[in-house]
Amino acid sequence: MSFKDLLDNGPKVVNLGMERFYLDLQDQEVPAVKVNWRPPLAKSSLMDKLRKLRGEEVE
Amino acid sequence: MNSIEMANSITFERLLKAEPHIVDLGMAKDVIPDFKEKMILHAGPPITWDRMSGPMIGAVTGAILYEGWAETPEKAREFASKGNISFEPCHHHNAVGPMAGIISPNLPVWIIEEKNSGKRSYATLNEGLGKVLRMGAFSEEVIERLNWMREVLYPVLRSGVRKFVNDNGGLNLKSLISQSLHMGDELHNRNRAATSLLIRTLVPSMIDAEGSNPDLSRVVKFVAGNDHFFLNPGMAAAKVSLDSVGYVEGSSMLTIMARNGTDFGIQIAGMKNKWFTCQAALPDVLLFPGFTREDVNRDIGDSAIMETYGLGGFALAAAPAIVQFVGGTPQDAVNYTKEMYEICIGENKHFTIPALNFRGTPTGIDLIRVVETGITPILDTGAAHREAGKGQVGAGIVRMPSEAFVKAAEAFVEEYSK
Amino acid sequence: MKRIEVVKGEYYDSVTLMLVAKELKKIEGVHDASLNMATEANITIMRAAGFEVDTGLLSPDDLLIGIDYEREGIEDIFERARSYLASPPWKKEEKDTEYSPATLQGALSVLPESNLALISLPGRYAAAEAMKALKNGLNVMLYSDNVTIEDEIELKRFAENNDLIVMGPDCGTAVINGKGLAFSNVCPTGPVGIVAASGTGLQEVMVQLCRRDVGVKHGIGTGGRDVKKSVGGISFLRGIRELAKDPDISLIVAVGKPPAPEVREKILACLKETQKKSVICFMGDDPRKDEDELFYTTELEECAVVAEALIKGRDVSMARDKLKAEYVKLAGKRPVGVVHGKYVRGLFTGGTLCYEAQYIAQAHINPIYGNAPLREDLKLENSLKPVGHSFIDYGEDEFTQGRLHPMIDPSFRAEQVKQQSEDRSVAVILFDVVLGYGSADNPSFDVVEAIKSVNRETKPIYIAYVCGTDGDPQDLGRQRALLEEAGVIVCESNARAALLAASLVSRKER
Repeated sequence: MSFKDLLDNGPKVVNLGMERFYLDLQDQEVPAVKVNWRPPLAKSSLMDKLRKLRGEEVE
Repeated sequence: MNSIEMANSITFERLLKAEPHIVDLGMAKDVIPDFKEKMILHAGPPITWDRMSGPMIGAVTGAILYEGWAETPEKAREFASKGNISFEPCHHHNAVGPMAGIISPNLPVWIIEEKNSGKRSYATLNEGLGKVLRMGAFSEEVIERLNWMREVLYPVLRSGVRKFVNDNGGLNLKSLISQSLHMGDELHNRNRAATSLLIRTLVPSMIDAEGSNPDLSRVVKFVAGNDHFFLNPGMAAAKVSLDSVGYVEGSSMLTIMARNGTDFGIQIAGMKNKWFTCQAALPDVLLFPGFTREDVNRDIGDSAIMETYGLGGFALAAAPAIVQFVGGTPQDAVNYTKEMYEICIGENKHFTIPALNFRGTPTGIDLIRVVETGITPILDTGAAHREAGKGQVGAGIVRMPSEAFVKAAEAFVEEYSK
Repeated sequence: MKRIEVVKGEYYDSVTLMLVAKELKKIEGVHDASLNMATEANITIMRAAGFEVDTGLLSPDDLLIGIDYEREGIEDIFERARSYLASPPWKKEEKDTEYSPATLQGALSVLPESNLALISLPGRYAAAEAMKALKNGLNVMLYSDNVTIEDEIELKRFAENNDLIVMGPDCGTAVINGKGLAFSNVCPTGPVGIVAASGTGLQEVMVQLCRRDVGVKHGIGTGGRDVKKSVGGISFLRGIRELAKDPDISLIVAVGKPPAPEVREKILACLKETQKKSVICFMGDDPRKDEDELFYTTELEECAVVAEALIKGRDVSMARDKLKAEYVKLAGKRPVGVVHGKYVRGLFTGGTLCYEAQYIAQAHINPIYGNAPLREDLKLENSLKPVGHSFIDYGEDEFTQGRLHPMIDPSFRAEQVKQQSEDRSVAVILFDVVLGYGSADNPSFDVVEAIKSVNRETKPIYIAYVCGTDGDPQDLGRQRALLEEAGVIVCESNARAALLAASLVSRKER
């Protein structure tokens, strides 16, 4: 989905974080999913190394 | 494809292909590999006598009395504390045990074979509920029952099994598990359908082989009266299936989750036979009447192998009745299973869940996904009293602790960053 | 005391009985509760727990309820037990909580057509999640702050190379095709497209346009740092270009604090390229002359007024003059009664509203201190102890550690209103009330209660601006009424409220 798609088709949202934002989207009948997010178990340096091993290099 | 992804797809495929069958029964000392003379196998990662918790101490005491190595409980404890016994994890000998998971030389065990690899696994016969060895009970009643199981239950069962295996080549546990999932079981805390199917499968052969044996009736009643009878061979089926995966370089898939009442431990397919441990969880479960939170022992048992295999807590959506144990709704049962998909490599098409449109159970726990998402596996398990022999105090959903996973991830990175 | 009651001939499964026992044990004074069918085994268990069971005429189909209660009135507990058995309190109505996926991946399997991740996670996690979203082809709105500028640049460069946009970090407001994201006001759609490097700035412009019956199709937030040199306006420029392509949009509005010079050049060039008319509002900027298609403003209401004129085909200079005249009249207003005290204290929930208010007020009162001042040397040592004229933004980091943003929970700001009111040197208290999605359910409530409870004989003058529209969920009319009933002077724009507050005091000074 490009930025243009977002503007043309309206938002279809994955909400990560405050639930109130998700509920407000529901009120406006915006298609939305709420993610019941929790932090990674590893600190970010370990996460970076794991991601790298998985082949997800971030420049 | 990246090597971790590839490695995981190899381990995942192997796991799904595994074909566990009951092939026989035997005495632990005779059939379990490397079973030494004064050896006692236990659940969970390695642990020494001085660190054992109440239920395990009680179960060891009971085993020593059963084996005749001491005459009183006090003498039994003394015997154990003096280093006379080799304590080793069941897992180190291709075995698994629920709760204290104690296997001593003269206990009869199921022999499960995985047909593709020829690998085998072992588990004792389930004693039933209440005052039982696996809960740490060691009274005369317990020893008497164990004696009866060895002298009466075991030979009759073995005779029936041998007849069945002779006629059929093996008793297909994968098929029973698959059917039980469609009948309201999740195969850890709820084994009623699987037990019923097992009995239905075996009884004709038992009658054929032992029809004239006056003990047959009592044996069948014993098995039929125990809703958890399937748990032990079920655990062995999971164990041998995971074992058949073997070491695969680069795989982050879990092959073991186990608890010994003090520690929680895991093993990873890409990290040969290494335990990663931390303190076991304190189960926050629904308590039976008369018990309080102070009575609960830390998480214990090899039965976590069921979840490692994608069953138990992972298949809760198949067993909504059991979620009532935490005051939940059928939707909660579904939600638990759905959460586990997020940390698994794939779905097991052989084990499907009707309530999820026959979606395969979440299978192949991925260490990296666990660490990344912050979601640790949930187990559906029983909780033991911290004092030996007081039995089960409750049951419910327990979340595994995170430190073991972080340790494993650190080691994994170190191993594979070279 | 321990007592057993028997309920004859009613069967309950053991799980239900356990759950009822669990509920009963929550009651204060209940030491133990045990419910069991009267089987031999259960009778043994209950006796072991200290209950006296008279097996007399008992059968296993009877229910035993055992309660150990330390107070009088154990009958009530039995009553409760029976009612729980009849209607289990833990059974939620089938407004069953659907599964909420725990990861972005999980979310995408639920809503595969997702095109935007709205991220309000703690800053230290937000960047990684944002990158994940971008890699999965989602645009990102990053409400989170405390994201490093390096991460911001990395995210925006990645987005640029993949035809996506990152709105943020610290982006509190966006509106796409009339749908509000995070904090936003309900406004009709229309021919205006806005790109804003400021949250409440975007809100104020939209609100002022809405009051003039001018609709906005898209309001794209970029976060405050986008127009810094190192970020280079990546999102800002992308926003302008995309709005320019939209045939429904005939006017582009660019809003923010003055950008870095290089970025300003790029923005102006970009706007000129669009060949559509644009209105620029760099708040607090030096005034500039309008060019052919580019109209310069330095205040939010002014920006809306110019935009309105352009949309409605009216003369822009005349519109500006009219606004100016209204301001002059407002500034000339005499206060009702005596103005006690000397100072203006501006106590804000919206960051840009605070900023604009300072900018407007400082033409009349000086110096204005604050926690987000116009000049570094005006920074307050202790934001909770304002001195002289002070304007405080309670949405700043120092106040939002362990506290909800004041637009969500205005109680802390209300406490400050009360405190400042009791300072006899304070003549005027100026504040904002922001309505719309994301804001509190009754945003005026706390501050009105605070004002009513002020214990000072000679209360300060209260001036407020309600940033909201008729369509907002909090009922604009009611919010204004609440304030006015408490004696607050409610102005029509943030600029007017600041102007009035400053003029009242500056006239006194003269």
